[in-house]
Amino acid sequence: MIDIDLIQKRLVNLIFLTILLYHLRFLRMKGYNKSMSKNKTRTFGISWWIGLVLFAGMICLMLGDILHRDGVIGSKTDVLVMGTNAGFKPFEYIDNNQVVGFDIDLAREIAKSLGKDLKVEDMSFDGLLPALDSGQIDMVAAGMTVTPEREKNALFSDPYYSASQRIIVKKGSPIRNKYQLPGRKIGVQLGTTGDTLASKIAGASVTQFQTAPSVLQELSSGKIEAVILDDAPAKQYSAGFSDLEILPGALSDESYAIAIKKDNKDLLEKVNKEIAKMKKDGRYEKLIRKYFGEEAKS
Amino acid sequence: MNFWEVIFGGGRWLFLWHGLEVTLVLTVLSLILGSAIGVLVALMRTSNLRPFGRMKTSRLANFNPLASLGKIYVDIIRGTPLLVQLLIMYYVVFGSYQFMPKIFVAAVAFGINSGAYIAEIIRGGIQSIDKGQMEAARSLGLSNWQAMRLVILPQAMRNSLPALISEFIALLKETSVVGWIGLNDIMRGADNIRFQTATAFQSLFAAAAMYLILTAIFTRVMARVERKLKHDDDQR
Amino acid sequence: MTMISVKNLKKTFGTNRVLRDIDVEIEEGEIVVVVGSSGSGKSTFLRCLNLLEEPTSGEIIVDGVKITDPHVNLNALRQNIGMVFQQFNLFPNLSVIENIKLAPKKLRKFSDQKATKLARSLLDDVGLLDKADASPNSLSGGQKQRVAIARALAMEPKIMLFDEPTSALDPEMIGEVLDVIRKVAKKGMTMVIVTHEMKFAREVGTRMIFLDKGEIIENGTPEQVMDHPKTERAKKFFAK
Repeated sequence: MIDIDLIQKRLVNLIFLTILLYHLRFLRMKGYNKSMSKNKTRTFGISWWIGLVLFAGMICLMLGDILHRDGVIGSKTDVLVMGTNAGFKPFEYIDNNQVVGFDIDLAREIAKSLGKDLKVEDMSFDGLLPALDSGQIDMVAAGMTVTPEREKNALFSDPYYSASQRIIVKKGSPIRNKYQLPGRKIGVQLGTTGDTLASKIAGASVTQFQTAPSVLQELSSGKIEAVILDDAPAKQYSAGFSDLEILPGALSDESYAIAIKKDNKDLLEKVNKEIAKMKKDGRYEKLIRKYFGEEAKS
Repeated sequence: MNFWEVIFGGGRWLFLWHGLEVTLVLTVLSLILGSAIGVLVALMRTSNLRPFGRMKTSRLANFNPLASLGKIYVDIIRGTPLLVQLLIMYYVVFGSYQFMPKIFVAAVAFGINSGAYIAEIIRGGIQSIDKGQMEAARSLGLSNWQAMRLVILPQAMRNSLPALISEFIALLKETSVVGWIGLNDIMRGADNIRFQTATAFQSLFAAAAMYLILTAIFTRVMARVERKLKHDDDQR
Repeated sequence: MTMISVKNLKKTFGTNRVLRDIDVEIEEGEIVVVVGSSGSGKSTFLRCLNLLEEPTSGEIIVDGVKITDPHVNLNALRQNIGMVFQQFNLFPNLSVIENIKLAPKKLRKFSDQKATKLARSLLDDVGLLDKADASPNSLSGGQKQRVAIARALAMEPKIMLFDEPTSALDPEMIGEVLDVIRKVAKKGMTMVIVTHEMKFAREVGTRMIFLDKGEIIENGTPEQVMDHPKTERAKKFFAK
């Protein structure tokens, strides 16, 4: 797991530290000798200066190490920083301690077209737009639905994915379309568009769950009658439950787009251009297939 | 889980090692910046600039803009919490400079903070020097600045060394709040271990021990510096 | 040639009038001894001569330069006026020889070698060559004052001011300091000495000024002033 380069650096630092400590011990002995001689004009002997230089060297090495870890040096200085919230499979999720997903790959293509390296900042979903506004990130790619509210605070690129809210029921359920939902027991994921929709259905009793799998588990065990979810995670997660089916027909249509800081029209233009190009030359198709399987729509 | 396993299992000691690097580097950078600011502000506050001195009757005659500026700075910094200053520095001042590494942002915040305390210590040191020293230097023909630099400041620094050492140690410990802006110092490293292993005792004690060792080494070195300066003075 | 010319010099501290209307001329090579009881303004008068105290009003001309002019270069002026203080005021952060070398190196732009040579010869003059690398704090009062004199002489000033150079010394050390001052006096330098050592004043001084309550009330040779004072105040002072 730990690479050799890092261990080498650790070792160099440790050696420095040891020399420094040893040096201090050595100093003390010399200090006593010095008090014997009276005609000493130099305040600090050579050993003090060696110690100081060693210490300064160690601090510089450590600083280099920190900056390296921070991605400031050792990589191209031109970096495109994207913010996301890694808990939205397949758009962004954590795999092997790394943030991966559709949005990450998409953003990487965009960064490449700009000649920059991509840096991913994982933060809470509601902190994304403020971070964009304060300039800590260049753009947000987080499966973010374009809404009039959000458009007041940021620019949005052309949509790169059309999402919809879908109804999931147990196989053989009497519920076959959205008009049969009123008065039913419905499960949703907390804070999603589905949550908002369900709360508007007359007479329905809505139960909110933290994660998509736990909603589906509840449906499978029969405690609720229907679930409303974004289509992509619905497909991903319901595959694990053989007794569930996704009803055809969308409850609503919405689109995901990349958010960019309000005054950065230049970046917006470039992002739009690259998305259009990707759709044309098949890279977009490839990404869709990679994350949604063969039969996915484009 | 035993202590060894909590700290060293799964490469977790790296959290603490990286933390040590951040804490040490941050302390040294802030110290350099803080000392520079401290000396500058102390000089401002002890300066004798009276641009309206000729208006003998006016209240403005005793107005010293540099000293007032220094006093405002010291009052603001000492009157607000360090954490607030750090967060303002990170989110407001450097909010739109995303390429400024966090370690430098934090060093600037801590440097400005400790600068105010160091300034007060050095000001006390300068004022403790006998007036005759300045007069003797000026009577030789040295300028005010030369006299300050060559005669007054070296003595003031030495007189304030014990207080400066306490301030440096306080700074080292105060850097433990940088976790707030996402810098992984010793404290945050310990927190990471704590969350990963769901233990509290081992990681927190490891962090405490690291701080203790750092301050102990620093105190010893400084005590030696102090002894050396004193010794050289009396028995050159 | 007139070295120092003082006209209508006044100095007040708040409401306290320390110097009232001092007029005096000092020729080149003169050794002027200023005497008077404590609080008579002797030290203030001396400190006005190199503007350590800023006169409230009046005019002082030193070596042809009107130093009370606000545009005068004070630092250049002071290089020509050496001063020795009652409290020595050696710099404890520097060794004895560094104390002496400081001003020549910084102001006369001497190389370290040249400054060391000068400092060593001055230390030899005051008999303290063996203390060159010592710390000022390790010296006795008399030794400190001798170093302070050497330090002032290192700028090779035209005028030397002595502000009660022996008042802070133990009696047995006064002699060694006076010896050094005598030696300097023989070189023909213009000197103004504030002192309480009457025997020394009579021996060294070519002129004596008696100050009382901020005014010069006697001005003449030491013999005239001490043996035949014209004023009651001076008579009373010397009778002690």
